[in-house]
Amino acid sequence: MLKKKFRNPEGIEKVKSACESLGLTATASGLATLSVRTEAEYFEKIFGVVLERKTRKEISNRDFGESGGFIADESILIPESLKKYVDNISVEPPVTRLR
Amino acid sequence: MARTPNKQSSDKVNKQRSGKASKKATKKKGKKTQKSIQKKRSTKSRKGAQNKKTVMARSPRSKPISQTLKIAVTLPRPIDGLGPVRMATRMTTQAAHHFIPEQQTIDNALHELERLGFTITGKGQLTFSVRGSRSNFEKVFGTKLSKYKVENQPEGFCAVDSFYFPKPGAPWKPAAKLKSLIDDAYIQWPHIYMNDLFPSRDPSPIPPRVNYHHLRVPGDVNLLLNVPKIHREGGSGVGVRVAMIDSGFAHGHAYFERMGYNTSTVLAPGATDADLDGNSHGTGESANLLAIAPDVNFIGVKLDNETDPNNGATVLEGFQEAMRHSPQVISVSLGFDLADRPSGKHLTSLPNSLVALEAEIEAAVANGVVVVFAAGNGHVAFPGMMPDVISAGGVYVHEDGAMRASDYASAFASKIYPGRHVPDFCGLVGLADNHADYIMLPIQEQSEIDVGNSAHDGTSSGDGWGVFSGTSAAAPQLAGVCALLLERNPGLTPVEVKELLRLTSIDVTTGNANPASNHNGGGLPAGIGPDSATGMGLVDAHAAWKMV
Repeated sequence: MLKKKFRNPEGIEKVKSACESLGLTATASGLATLSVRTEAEYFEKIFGVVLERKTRKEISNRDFGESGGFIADESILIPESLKKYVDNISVEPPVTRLR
Repeated sequence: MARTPNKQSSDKVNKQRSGKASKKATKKKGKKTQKSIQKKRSTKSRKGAQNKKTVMARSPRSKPISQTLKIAVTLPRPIDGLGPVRMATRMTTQAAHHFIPEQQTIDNALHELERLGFTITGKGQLTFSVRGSRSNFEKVFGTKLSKYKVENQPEGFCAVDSFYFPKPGAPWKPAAKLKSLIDDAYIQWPHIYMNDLFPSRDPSPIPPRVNYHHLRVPGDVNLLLNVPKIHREGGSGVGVRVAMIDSGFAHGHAYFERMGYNTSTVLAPGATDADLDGNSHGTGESANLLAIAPDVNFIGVKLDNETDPNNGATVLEGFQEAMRHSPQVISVSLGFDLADRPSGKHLTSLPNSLVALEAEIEAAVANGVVVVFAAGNGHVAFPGMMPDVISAGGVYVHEDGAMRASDYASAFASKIYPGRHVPDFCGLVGLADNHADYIMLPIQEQSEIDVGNSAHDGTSSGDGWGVFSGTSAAAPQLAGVCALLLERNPGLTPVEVKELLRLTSIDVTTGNANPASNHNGGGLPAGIGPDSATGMGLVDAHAAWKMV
């Protein structure tokens, strides 16, 4: 989640650049956020977290399944090089495909 | 007299009945891609074995073009020597008997045709059929024939795929004696078999029949949400940009093609193959939205990667991608269940992992985008619980018209957003005792839902149709209604849109919501006036439309 000051096209480019310097590949940006991707092991290393892998859940009576993915420890520390730009870093958990 | 096919008639040959030209490359690609998916049609399929046999019995297209021509011959009438072709006015039933030739005329013409090497194959009152070789035809009629190919016909549905006919401008000099005996002679075009309106359409645009009360798109969904009057008054969502974020959108399905919707699919990061929807949630649910607002500019944001499911897009990436396309409405039927299971205890604060998504949604609403989320189906669903989104709950309407809160749809008071009650109001959702199998929706054949749901919804596995609902259906229904309101007044803010729907919803007074979503246990009840189960009740699209 970007700091308010960087929620504009120029700001997003700066944040992207900072992320890429850390080995994070920017995938998409919105009005307030930037999404990045990297390998799970690398993420654990640079952010000092342990990721819990979640497998896909099949269709159930309540929903049409859940995507696979990761759950991260709540306290993801923001690296020094990104502190200026972001308020929050998170790993989106698996999503439920509702019926 | 035009001898050769004029442009209109040759177009008639070349652009046959079916196979509407697709404007979008994605749709064309979709047809090819869908056909590349292995098809295992159920024996219960309505197209069935008999049609397949009929198709197989026809001449395969690989047969070489025949050198024997099939020719229709008309003869002059007694009164003035003109025949049906040279008369150049339209034949009528009243005039037909005037064109019956005299017997002597018939005998003389047929004798001459046989003498010239043609074989008489049929005799009518006004016409005769003869057959002859291509070379002989060219010689006798002093012309040059060219090869024509029948286009845009599925295999097996045209008698032949190529035939001979004179090109425009080709010479025409019949042998003098023959010319004096006949009115005219024309090579007959190949005919098209009409017994399959949607030949080789797999799946059919027509849904299968099932033996329980359910709703069909577009009609029943529109009827129950009071949409038809809007359509008749000219409202259909024209010019409104609506993004839907979901598994995928297989809009190459014959239903969508036949409906002619204006849709496109974009890929969120990690998603692949815009024409496929291996799960088919998005495909099916989008039919709800398009039923209500058929002329929106629909942007489907695909999240899924069928080849590598772990690499599909996150909801946030999907939302970010959606925002790139400047939508006025975003519809999302996905969510996160913010409760400890199996206890059902609601979380009391938003997990850090979802703060970014919350921020992005807030920013979108602040920018004037109407954001609609499903309330959940027993889930304590986020982002459906966010105060600034429209949270779509569920109402079930029986075939006798009686309404009740759907016991499949969520309703709860959020512990994360104090004062926030879910839902705001409702769309159409089925009941728990029937898996919420309520709305017949077009889906990609052989998709996960097509196969999995067929175990209980009465459709065949692999037929490209499924009966399902849930607040996943309610959200796009409400999004469609929002689009209609925005068409009427593009200046409406998200708050105003929500208020219009709140003020005009129909009160639902009976039933209980899904108990799994209530932290106290027991489904929250509907009652007179605004209630915990249904919010303001079932959306009344036309009432809201009139208030704009």
